[in-house]
Amino acid sequence: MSKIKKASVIVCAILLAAVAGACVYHTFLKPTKILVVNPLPAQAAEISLNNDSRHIKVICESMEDARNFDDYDAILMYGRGLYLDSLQMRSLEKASAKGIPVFTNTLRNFSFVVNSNLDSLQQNRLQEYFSNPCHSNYRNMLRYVRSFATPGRLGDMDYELPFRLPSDMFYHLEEGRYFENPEGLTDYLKAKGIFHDGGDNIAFISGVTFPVESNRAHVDTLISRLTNAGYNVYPLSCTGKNRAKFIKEISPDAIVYLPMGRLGNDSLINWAYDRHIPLFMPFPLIQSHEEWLDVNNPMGGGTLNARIVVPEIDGGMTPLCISTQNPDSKGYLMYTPERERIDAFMEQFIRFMNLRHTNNSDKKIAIGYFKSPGKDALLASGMEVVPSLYKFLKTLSERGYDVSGLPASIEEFKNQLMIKGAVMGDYAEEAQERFMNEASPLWIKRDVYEKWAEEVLLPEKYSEIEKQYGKAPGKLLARGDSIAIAVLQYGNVLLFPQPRPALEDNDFKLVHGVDVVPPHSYVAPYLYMQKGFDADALIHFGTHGNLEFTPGKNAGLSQADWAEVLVGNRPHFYFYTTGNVGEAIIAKRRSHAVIVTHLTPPYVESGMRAKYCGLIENIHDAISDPHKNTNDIKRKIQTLGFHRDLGLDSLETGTYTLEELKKVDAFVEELANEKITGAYYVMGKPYSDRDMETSVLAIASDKVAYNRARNDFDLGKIRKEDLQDFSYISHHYLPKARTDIIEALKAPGHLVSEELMEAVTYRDLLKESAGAEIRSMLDVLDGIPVKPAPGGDPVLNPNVLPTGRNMFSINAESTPGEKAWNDGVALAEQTLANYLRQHGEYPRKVSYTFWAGEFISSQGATIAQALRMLGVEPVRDEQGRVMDLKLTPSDELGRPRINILVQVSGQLRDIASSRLKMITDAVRLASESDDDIYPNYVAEGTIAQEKDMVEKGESPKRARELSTMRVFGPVNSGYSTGMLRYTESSGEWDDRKELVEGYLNNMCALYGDEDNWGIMNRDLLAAGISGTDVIVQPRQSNTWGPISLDHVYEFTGALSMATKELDGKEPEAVMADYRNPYIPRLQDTKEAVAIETRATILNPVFIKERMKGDATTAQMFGEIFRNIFGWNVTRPSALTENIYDDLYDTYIVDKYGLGIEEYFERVNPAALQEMTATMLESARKGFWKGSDAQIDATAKLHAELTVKNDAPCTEFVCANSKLTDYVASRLQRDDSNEYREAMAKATSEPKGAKVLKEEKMSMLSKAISDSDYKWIITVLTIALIAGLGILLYRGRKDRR
Amino acid sequence: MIVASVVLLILAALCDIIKMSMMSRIFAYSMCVCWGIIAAIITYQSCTVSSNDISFRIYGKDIIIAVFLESFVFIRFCFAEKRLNNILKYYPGLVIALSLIPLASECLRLFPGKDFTMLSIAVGISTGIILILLTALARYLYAGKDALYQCALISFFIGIIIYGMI
Repeated sequence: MSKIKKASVIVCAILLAAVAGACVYHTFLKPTKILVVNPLPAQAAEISLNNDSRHIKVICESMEDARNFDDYDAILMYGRGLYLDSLQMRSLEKASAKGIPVFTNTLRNFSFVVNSNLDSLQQNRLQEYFSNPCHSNYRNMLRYVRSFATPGRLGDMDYELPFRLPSDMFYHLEEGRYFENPEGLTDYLKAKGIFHDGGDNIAFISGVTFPVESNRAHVDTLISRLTNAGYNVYPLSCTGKNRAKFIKEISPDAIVYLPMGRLGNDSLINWAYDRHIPLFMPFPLIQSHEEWLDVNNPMGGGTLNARIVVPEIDGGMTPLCISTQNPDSKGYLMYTPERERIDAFMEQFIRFMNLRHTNNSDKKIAIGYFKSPGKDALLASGMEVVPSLYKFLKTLSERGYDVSGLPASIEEFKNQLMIKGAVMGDYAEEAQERFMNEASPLWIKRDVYEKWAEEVLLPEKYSEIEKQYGKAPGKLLARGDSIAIAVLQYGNVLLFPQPRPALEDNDFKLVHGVDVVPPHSYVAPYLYMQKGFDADALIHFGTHGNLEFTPGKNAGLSQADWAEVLVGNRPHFYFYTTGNVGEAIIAKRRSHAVIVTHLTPPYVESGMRAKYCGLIENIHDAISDPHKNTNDIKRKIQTLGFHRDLGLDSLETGTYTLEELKKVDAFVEELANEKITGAYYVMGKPYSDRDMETSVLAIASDKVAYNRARNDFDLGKIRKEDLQDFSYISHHYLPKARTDIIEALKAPGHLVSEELMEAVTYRDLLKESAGAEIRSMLDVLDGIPVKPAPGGDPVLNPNVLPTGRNMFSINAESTPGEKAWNDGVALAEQTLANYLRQHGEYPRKVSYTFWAGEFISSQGATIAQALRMLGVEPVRDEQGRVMDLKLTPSDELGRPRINILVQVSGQLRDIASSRLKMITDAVRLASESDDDIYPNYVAEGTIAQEKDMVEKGESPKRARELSTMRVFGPVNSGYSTGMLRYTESSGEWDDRKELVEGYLNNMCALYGDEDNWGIMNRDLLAAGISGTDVIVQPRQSNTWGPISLDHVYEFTGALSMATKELDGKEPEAVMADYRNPYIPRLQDTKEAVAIETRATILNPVFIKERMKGDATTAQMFGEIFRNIFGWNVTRPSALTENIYDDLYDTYIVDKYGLGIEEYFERVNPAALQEMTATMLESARKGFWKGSDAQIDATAKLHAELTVKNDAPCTEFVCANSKLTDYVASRLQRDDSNEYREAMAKATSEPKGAKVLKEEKMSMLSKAISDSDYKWIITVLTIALIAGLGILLYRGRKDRR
Repeated sequence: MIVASVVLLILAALCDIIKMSMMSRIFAYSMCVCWGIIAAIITYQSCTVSSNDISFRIYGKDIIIAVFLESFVFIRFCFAEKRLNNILKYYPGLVIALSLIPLASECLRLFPGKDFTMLSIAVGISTGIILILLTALARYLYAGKDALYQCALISFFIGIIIYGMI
C-alpha cells in the first residue's frame, strides 16, 4: 500500500475513533446539564454547593438572562414572580419539543407554570424535593433529574427519596435537628448546657422558610449571640396560623423577627402587645456590602416594603441591616453577617430588655429638645413644649425616677431652660461669650471628646468634621481646648437642646439637611449622652429635630450614617405629633426611633360662620332668586375685601353675576367651615370641654352630613351635582349634623343613635389620648412596647386615636390604591377643566409637588394625578399591587396627554422610590404613544427637553436618556431645598435671581431611574420647569395651611418663582385638597391663602384662642409672619395687596383690643420682635408699601422690645445687619443709639453682605454652537462652493 | 475662530473633492460611497459625544496640522514629476473625514427624537450622494491641478492664520 494510502487510512481511523469517542462521550459520559431559572441567590448557592457529582453540571440564571433552553438536558424553574418574554417562550417550547423535561416549582396558583415531558410522579417528587429544602434533598434532586433526563448516561444515577422536613418546626444551630414543640427544644438546650434558668425566652423567626440548612450565617450568628447573652432562643420556621400557635406556645418575653412582610395577623400582634412582648425586626439584605453602604443606592421597592414598611405595621423596632449577601471564593452568594450591625442590634436589644429589670430610680434618661438660636421658645409642632416637658418630668418623678433638683415651679424651669439650655448661632458671638461665662455649661476637654469620637465614630467620618471645621473644639462655644455644651441635669435625667447641625455658609443648608457634616458643637452633646452620661434611653421631645435629616442612607443605616451613630445604640423614643406621619417615618427608619404620638392642638370654632351668616343668607337668596341680587350684596362683598381674594371687579355700581355669586358663596362657605386649631397642646392635659366638643365636631360632622346626603341621593331627594357640591352639603346638611352631634355628646350613651355613636367614641378616644401619651412613654421606658397605629390628621383619619402609639406608613407598592386612583383622576381632570375654561386651551405642562405625608394619607392619590395627566393607568395583580402601567387609549382619554414635572421632598424619595421610577416609566410610555388622535404634549416636551440638553452640551444619546426625566428633588441623602434659609437670610440677597439659582442648584437631583438616581443636573431641571402652566400642591391635613407651614412656600412658591424667572410668566398655582375625603377638590392657592389668613392670623377669635397658649404657641405667630414674608419673596400674587396693612392694624395697633403687646411681653417677647422684624424687612424690601407713620410705629415697637428684652438673637433678627441699619434709620436719634447698642450686645460686628453659597453641582458648559454661527457658516459654505464653481466653469471655458 | 475653522474644513473638503474628481470615475465614486459609509458610522458614534467635546477636538491645533499636511501633499502633487505623480494621484484626501464630524453632530441636533440608527443611515446616504454629485460637478468643470493648487494654497494660509489665533 502506498504511503499516501496508509496515511489516509490512519487519518480515517483516527477520525472514526474520534467520532466514535465523541458519540460514546455524548451518550454515556457527558455531564447532565441542568438549568435552574429564577432562583434567589441563596437558593442558587444552596443548589450549586450541594451538587457533589461531577456528572452533573448546574447552571443558575436569572429569568432575564435565561436563554437557549434547548442546550440543556433539564430545566428547573422557580415560578415565584417568573416572567419569560416571547423569545424565551419560543426557546422553551423548542426545548420541550426536543423532549427536554421542564419543571416549575411553585406554591401559588397564579404564578407562571410550565411543566413538560414529566409524568405526575416525577412532578410530585420534584415538588417534594423543592418544598423540603435541605442538603440531602438538593443533592438527591439533582441526581433524580439526571436519572430521567439522561437515563442512558453512566454514573451517579442513584438517589434517595425526598426527606420530608417538618413543615412547622423548631430548630437551633445544629443542622438536621428539628423539634415539633418548644418543650423538645428546651430539653435539647438543657442537654447541651445552653439553657439559662430564669433567662428570658426569645421567639426567633426568620421571615422565609429557607435556608433551613447552611447559608444561614446571619441566623446562626444571632442565635449564638442571643444565647451567649443569657437568653433562651427558640428559632421556629412556620407560616400562617401555625406561626401564631408556635409563638404562643413559647410564651416569649420578646420576639426577634427577620421580617419578610408581617409577623402575623392583627390577632397575633394584639396578643403580643397585650402581653407586653416587644417585637424586634432587624433584617438581612439581598445586596452586597458595597451596595448596602452606597448612599446612591437607596433601599426601595419590594425590599423596603417587605423588610421595613410592612413590619412597621406590626410596630417592629430596631430596623437594622444585620447581613448582606456577598460572593464567596467560588462566586456563590452567601449571607454575610455585618458584625458591627449585629453588635449594634445586640446592644439595643439588651438595653431595651434591661429597661424591664432596672429600677426606675437607677435609670438614666436623656431628653433632647428643639429650639432656634437666641431667645426663641422651645419648638415643637403643635405642642407647648415647656409645660409638656415639665409635666413629663414630674410624672417621671412620681414613677420613681430620680429627677432631683427639678424646680418647683414651671416658671423657674422655663428660666433655667432659656439660660442654661440655650442654642447658639455662630453669628451671635457676644451671646456665646455671655453663655459660656454665665450659664455654667458643661465643659468637655478636647482629649476626652476625641477619645469618645474615636470610640463612636468611624475615623473617616471624624476626619470629615475636622476637614470642614478644623480640629476640636471648633469655633462655636469653644474656649481653649474645651467645648461647652448646654445641658440641664436633674438627678438621672439629662436635658439638652439639639444644636445647629451646620455653621456659617453651611448653615444655609438646614434644617432638613443637605450633604453637610455636623460640627463639633453638634456631635459633642450626643457623644456626652452616650459616653459621659451613659443614658439608658434617649428621648427626643416634639416635632421635630434635624438629626434624622443628617446625610446618609434612607434606611438600613450603618456606622457611616450620622443619625445612627449619634443616637448610638440607646433605645430611642420620640414624642411626635400624629399630624406629621411623613417625617415621623424618617425618624423611625433613620434613627431607629419608636414614635409616641401626641394630639394636635384642639380644633376650635373660627367664628367665621357667625361673622358671615348674614352674607351667606343674602347670597343664597340672590342665587335662588335673581331679583334679590342687589348692589348691596356687591358692596358688602367689596367691604369685606372678598373681591380682591377672588379677582372680581371692584366697581361700586352694578351687581355680580350668578357665577360670581356662586364663587363668593363657595369661598364664604369654605371660610365658615375652615377648621382651625387653638392654643398648642399640652401633653397630659386633656382638651377643655369646649375644645373637646369643637374637636369632635371637626372630626365627625362632615361624615354624618355626607352620609345623610348620600342617603337622600339614594332616595332621589338630591341630585348627583348636589352630592358633589361642598357648598350645598355644608349649607343643607352640616348645620343639622353639628347640632345632633352636640346633643349626642350630652346625652347618656344608651340614648345615642348608631349614626352618632362614632362621635361619642371620638370624644372618649380624645380624652383617653391625653393620658395615654405620657403613659406610653413611661411604659416603653419600662420595656413595654408601644402599640402601632396609623398616623395623620385625626379629622381625616380618626383611626389615629387614641394617640400615644407608634405610627406606621403605607405599602408604597400598592399605590395608588383604587380610591386614590379615582381621587387622583378626578383632581387631574378638574385641573384641566378649570384651565380650559379660563384659557380656552389645555395646559402644556403641569408641575407637581409630592410630599410624604400627603402620599401616605391619600394612599398615593398624588401619584395618580400625575399618571392621569400623562394618560397612563396602573395595572394591578390579583393582590391589588400595582405591577405595571398601560396607556389609556387616546380616544378614551378624550384630550391631549399633558406633560408633567414633579418635585419631591427627600422624605417622599426615601419611602416611595419605586413610585418615582414608575412615573418615569409612565413618561416614557406616554412619549412613545403613537395612536394619539389628540396632541401629545408629553412627546413634544420630551423632544424639546432632548433638544435643550443637546444645546447645553450633552451628547445626543445622553440627552435622549435625560429627556424622559421629570422627577427632581434635593440632593441624595439630603432633605432640604435650601429655600427657607435662602429666603429668610434676606440681608444676603438683593435679587430673586440668586434665590432661583440656589433653588435650581439644590433641587436638581434626578430621581427617575436607578441609573441616574441622585445625579445633579441643573440645566435639566431648568428645562423641565420651563413651560409650566400650572403648579399643584397637595394638602391633606387640617393642621396646616399655606401660611402656617413654611414648606408650602418653600416648594410651591420656589417653583413658581423659578418658572417666572425662566419663562417670564408666572404659572397658576392650585392646591389639591384632600382634607375632605368625600370630595377632594382643587383650590386656587391665592384663595387658600386668603381663607387661612382670614380664619387665623387676622381672625380675633383665633388670636384669642392662641393667646391662651404659652411661649411655643406665641412663637407660631412669628412663624406665620415669616411664611408670609416667604410668599412675598417667592409668589407675591398669592397674597392680598394690603395684607401687611391688616397685620399692622391687628398686631401693632391692636385694633381688636386683644392685649397683643402685653401677651407677648409676658410669654415670649422674642416672638413679637420677630414679627415686627419681618414686617420691617418687608418694608425694606419694598413688599410692604406702608406709610411712614406705619413703618415708624413698627420700628419704634421693635426697638423698644429689643432695648427692654435684649436682642432675641434669632436668625431673622440678628443675622441681618441691613435690617438693623434700616430700623435704626426709622428711629429718633436717641432711640436709634439705644437700639444699636442692644443689638451690638448680642451680635458681633456686622459682617459684610456675602454672596449666597451656591450648590454648584455638575454644571454643563454652554454648547459652543450658536444659531448665529450656523447662519454664518451656511452662507459662507454656499459662497465658497458657488465661487469655486464659477472659477472652475470659467476655467473650463478657457480650456475649451 | 470657529467660523474660520469651519471655513478651513470646508476648503479642505473641497480640495479632497477636486482631488477625487481627478481620479478615475469608478475609483472616485467608490470613494464617495466609502465616505458615505464613514459618515454614517461617524454619525452613529457621535450620538455618545457631546458637541462640546466635538468642538474641542475639531477646532484645535491638531486639525490645522492635518490640513497643513494635506495641503502640502496636494501642492506637491500639483508640481510632482511623473513618478511621484503616479503615487500621489491615488491619494484621495482624508481630511474630508474631519469635516464629516461636525456635520454629523449638527444633524443629530437638528432632528431630536429620531432614531439614531435611521438618522445615521440617512446622513450616510445623503453624504454619499452629495459627494458623488460634487465630484461629478468638479469633473464636468475640468477642475484640475490649477484649481487644486489654488484651493490648497488658500487652505494653507487660512490654517496659518487660525493657528496663530489659537
